[in-house]
Amino acid sequence: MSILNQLLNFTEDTPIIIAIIWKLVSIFIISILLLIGILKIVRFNMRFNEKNDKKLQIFYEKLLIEYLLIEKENPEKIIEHQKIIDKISKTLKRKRYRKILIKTFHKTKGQIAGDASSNVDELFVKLGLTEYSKRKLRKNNNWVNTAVAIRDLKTFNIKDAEKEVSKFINSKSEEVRQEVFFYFIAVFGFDGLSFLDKLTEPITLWTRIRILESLKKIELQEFPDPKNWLESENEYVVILALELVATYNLFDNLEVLTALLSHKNEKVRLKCIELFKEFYIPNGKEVLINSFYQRTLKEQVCIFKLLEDQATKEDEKFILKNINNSNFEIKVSALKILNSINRSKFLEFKFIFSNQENTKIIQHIEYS
Amino acid sequence: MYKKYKIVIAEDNTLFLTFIKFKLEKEGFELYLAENGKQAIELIEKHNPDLILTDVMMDFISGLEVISYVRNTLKSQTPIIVFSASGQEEIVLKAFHLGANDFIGKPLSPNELVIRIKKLLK
Repeated sequence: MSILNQLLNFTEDTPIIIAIIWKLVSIFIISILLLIGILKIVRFNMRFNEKNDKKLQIFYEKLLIEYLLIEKENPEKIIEHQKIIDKISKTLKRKRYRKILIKTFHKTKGQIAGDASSNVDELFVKLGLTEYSKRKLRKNNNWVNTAVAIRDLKTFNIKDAEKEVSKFINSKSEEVRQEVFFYFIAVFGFDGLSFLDKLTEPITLWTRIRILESLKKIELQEFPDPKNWLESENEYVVILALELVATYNLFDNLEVLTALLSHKNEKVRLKCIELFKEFYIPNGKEVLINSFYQRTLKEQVCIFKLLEDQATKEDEKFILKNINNSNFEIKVSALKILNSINRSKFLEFKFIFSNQENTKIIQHIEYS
Repeated sequence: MYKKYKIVIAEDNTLFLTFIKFKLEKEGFELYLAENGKQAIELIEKHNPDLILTDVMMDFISGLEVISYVRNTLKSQTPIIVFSASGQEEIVLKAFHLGANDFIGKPLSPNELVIRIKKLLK
């Protein structure tokens, strides 16, 4: 106490500013010591939880493996399975335990395929974990929880969650929407693309790429008719549908495809022109040439790229009109096309052009 | 006389390792387990197995380094099957170039693995 009194009295005879500084220093030291104490407690708790989680993970892994390795021919298979289900079910009231169990299930699904993988799905349902995921969807309080719940339903192929998941097709969160798309594709295959009928929100380029990648993993089945999607009000659905047409050669709807060349959205029109360029679709070239001057510059450049592959002698008049086009790309394209459809006419331009730039272009094309 | 084939399995994922161990023991194989490339090499040198199963990504020494060691240092033609969660073409090509006999991407079917092992051991 006397030391404390001495400390307290120390500042009495000192100037005010020094007293304040000493008091501040004391407060900082006490705060730091307190924080160190708190951090030690937090660290201890974290390590304790980590150890427990690891033990729990090993416990679940052991039971899961036992479950998966019980032979089909074993007459006591059902009893053995039920014992394991009972052991695991006892622990599922706590949210942290459920999280660790689901993590173990995900880990297992990532490692094994075939019958064993289907057995994991079966166990997921028997443990009632589907209900927990559906409950998260009903709560819908947080996009992360919603996305995680849909991901779980996708990973374990839960078909009967279709109604709950479809409520999120037009979620404002892009991450949730993505999980919905992949749920439908993973669980229902090509038929799962029916979500496109209801989609009113955008689809990013990255999501489109991932959708096409996921579809590649589906075993060969009949592909649904994309006509509805090509006629969708949502331009993102139309663009994805065009990519599906290109990937799966779905050319039964030529009229619809030709009509898309006049779609109100430029991106759709450009995508459509690319499709016509790749696949030599009949009448496409004529439609594009007839409407050339009403189109945007990007479309015009795209049309000339198409003509580089598909132009014939009948198109010479149109090509000659654009030989002196103000756009450099179109000009070069026109000269290339002329070179391929009428070389002698092309060579005449060597003498017609007085401009050095044009002469260089002709020389480059002539000798390439 | 019935021969019990010896297999060294190198895999750092304990769940997968345990699962494969149970499956292959049921098929009658004698197994030696390693959780990393270093342990795998020690087991290979000690037991001279009939087949090696190795994951690509492991601590200390990777599966590709194990293959290289077996083919170039030990000069052994023991069949090697590589598995990996990464299906990158680069890794697959490198594994074959180093001398692997087969490659399986994860997730893998245990039944398929058994068939491939039996085929190589014939």
